[in-house]
Amino acid sequence: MSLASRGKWPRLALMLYAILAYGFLFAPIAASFVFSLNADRFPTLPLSGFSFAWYEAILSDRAVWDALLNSLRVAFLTAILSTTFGFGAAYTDYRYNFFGKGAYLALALLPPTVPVLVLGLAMLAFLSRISLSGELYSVVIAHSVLATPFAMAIIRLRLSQIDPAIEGAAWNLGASPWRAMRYVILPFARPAIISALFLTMAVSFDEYAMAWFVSGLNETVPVRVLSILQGSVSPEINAIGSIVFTISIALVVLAQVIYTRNQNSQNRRMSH
Amino acid sequence: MSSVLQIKNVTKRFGAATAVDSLSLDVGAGEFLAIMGSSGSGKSTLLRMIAGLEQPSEGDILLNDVSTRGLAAHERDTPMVWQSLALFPFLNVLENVEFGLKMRGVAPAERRKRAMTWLERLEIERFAKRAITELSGGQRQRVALARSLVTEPPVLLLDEPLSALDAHLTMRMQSVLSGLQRELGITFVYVTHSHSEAFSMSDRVVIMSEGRIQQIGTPRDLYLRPVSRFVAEFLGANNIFSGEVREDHQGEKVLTTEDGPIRLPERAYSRALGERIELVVSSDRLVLTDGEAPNRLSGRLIGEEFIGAGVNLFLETGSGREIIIQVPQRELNDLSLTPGRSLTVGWLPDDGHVIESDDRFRHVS
Repeated sequence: MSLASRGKWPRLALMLYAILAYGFLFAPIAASFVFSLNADRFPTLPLSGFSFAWYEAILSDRAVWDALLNSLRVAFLTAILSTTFGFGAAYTDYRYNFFGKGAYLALALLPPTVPVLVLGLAMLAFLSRISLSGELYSVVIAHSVLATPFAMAIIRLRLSQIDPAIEGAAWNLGASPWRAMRYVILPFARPAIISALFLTMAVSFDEYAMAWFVSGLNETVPVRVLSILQGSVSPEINAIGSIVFTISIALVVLAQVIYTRNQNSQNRRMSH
Repeated sequence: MSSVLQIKNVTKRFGAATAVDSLSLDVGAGEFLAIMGSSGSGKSTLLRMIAGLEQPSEGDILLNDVSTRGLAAHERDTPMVWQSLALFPFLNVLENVEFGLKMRGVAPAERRKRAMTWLERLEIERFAKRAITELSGGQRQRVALARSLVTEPPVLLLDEPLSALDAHLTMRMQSVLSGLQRELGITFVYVTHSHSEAFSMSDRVVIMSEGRIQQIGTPRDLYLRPVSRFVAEFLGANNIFSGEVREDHQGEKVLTTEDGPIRLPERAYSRALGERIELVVSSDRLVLTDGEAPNRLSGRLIGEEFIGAGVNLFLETGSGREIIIQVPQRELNDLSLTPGRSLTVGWLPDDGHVIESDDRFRHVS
């Protein structure tokens, strides 16, 4: 039954429900965004005036720039590492059947279901034991563990749509297994790979708990935000929060758009 | 005729199951060979072994007298047209056709030229820059053919390539395929489960079951002289009588059946008395008769089936046996087909074909 075929009142009630639900989800973020542009130091209504002062303050903070640069470095490296691992895991699942494959898949998809606090502590204990803790690359290692399953899930979905004969067809036409990978599997999976790069970047850019445990003195943006918060409650937080939110959501939307566009061209193919 | 492809005692096992069972087969240069069988008969596994996509457990496959043992798929020149076509969806038509040449290191200008020649040959040159998704089923079929033929291989393998097309397109592609094959002189090994595809195009047909060849021969041979009950039934023969060889009071060799004696073809006169044999009579060799015929059977009409040029009538004899007779339309005009009415069919003894009474194949069908 479509929404329109219901009565007028149930329809209005449903719309109201949806608005409330979204409002509940996004009101804090929206409020933070609004107050980041408010001239007043305290978040009170009515708003006192429009101002970029807090953005200027945050963007003139050396420590924030360092943190942003760290975050971008970590996010970039994490995206590449976790997408590479994710592709490997997804391809293994697509290509091979072996004993214990179910357990292999469960393990590969496990990290995001472990509380990040536990993961962070474990990472700290493990990495410091093998002297890999307290550096920026420690964060890259920790984030790659967390983000790889996301990359794997996206690429696995794409590979499941491949014609099972296509790799054999490439070999049959003279492509060695490596060239079949290079000229057939990778081009086919490309939209999912690009999408996975953006999504894993977003996962890393947002992540706080693990970064806090293993980063040592190399703060990422979320860790910096918490340091600012611990010092004082300043509207600067609203400004930096808005920036982080915008970057993250942009990455997620990009990942979504790339994948959906590819999905649509798939559907066009099906309808032929 | 020299052999392009020799299959020597090839066995393929998957775990405990045997897909192909010590099979030997020679395919001549320029031959169109069809391999038929129901699913699970091992016909596709055989094709995949020729292409190197599976390795035989035992035996060897020779291409132009050279052993292929240990050669990976990409190291042999045995392109295949896949049932799903397996075209590369992210490449356009021209790039798909060029793929084999690119993998063989042919320079870009040269491979473009050669690919275009094949597109022209298959009359799809105007689609060269199109995406695969923008083509119809028949056009995709032609792209798949061009892609496989562009390297001008000695053998082309085809794995039920027409199964996804509608009847009309299948007919057209059949004539395209046999035309190409004759023109190029390339050996075609064509796996199918369709009688009409196998019989209309091929020089020889192989019937496979349980990983073994049941019979190999020209389409006419197979149709007129099936060697076993399995082959006869697989090719759609229905009128199979089994019984013992006897002599009637005139001294003629007959087959005793539950519906009375049936006179044997002259070819079968050498059969010993008391031998158990089976006799196949094709449904188009039977005629409706009102009395005189060397072999006669009467039965009750239990059904009819319209098949275009004629009608298949189903009769049930006194012993409960079902007989199918194919009657041309023009003979039906003055015949009332009331269910239950009694009809008599007749045939010439020499139109019967004797097969061994062999129980080996019974359980397969």
